[in-house]
Amino acid sequence: MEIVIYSDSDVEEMKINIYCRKLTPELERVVAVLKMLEQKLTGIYEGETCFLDPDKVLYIDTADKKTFLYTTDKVYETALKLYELEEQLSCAGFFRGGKSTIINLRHIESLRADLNRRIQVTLDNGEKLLVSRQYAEELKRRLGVK
Amino acid sequence: MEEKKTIFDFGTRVFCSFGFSMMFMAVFSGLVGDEAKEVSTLFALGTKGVPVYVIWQFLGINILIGGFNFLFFSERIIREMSVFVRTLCMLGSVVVLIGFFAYFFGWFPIDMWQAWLGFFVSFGTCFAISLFIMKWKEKVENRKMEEGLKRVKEKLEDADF
Repeated sequence: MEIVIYSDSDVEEMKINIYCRKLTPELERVVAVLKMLEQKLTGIYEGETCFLDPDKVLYIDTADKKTFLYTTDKVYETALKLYELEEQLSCAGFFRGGKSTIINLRHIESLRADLNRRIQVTLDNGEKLLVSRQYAEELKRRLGVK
Repeated sequence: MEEKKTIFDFGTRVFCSFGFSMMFMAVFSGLVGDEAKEVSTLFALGTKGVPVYVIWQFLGINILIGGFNFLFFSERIIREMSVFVRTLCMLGSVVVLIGFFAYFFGWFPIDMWQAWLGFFVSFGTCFAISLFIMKWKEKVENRKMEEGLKRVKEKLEDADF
């Protein structure tokens, strides 16, 4: 892979062109990482690559080594790993809810203490998620409860 | 992911409740020991103290109750069950267990309805108080979390503008 960078003081907006035979999963990851720099998430829905505002994402989940972004009405697959998303999105109001989940605080409707010091999260679409005991302590610290 | 509990966590729980139960036994022996020693083996020494065999019986019952607690509340064995049903199962198990101990070790005369009434009243009162404290603590915690969530959401919204 060849990387060419043109530096020109007259350029008003940075532009990145990618020339390739076809869009591979590796390239999708590169695009996703680049979009993360401007706080956009890249998700694939029915074969189409879409750019999403993190605000629109309710939660992120992994299953079978794949990462999915859940919005109110759609589920997008992303090429990024959960830890990469966690790092990038912690300032955008996301927190780790379990080994395979990242939850968006903005979309939480209510929080309830659950069995074994876990926390039950109800999202604004009515969906319920559990924050494991390990991550519940961190969430409480973030909420200023501890 | 559930945090792994060790034998030391189990031991801590058992010895904590064992300590409290022995403290209550010492207080009750001092208060009603002489009157109760005729009908209960728990107070065989009257106000002089708690018999050693009672200490071992209490340790045994606390270990078993700790086991029931692990069974019904750890989710390692029973995964799909509501908190309400778990609490009911725990309650039922403890009542049966204490009934067995009362029968085998002569804690109180099992053919005496007043003794059973006393047991249910004292056990029911303790259970109701602990349930009330638990629910109250949960309510306070939920309220604090809701307030914290509201604050964090406001901060995030402010950061957007």
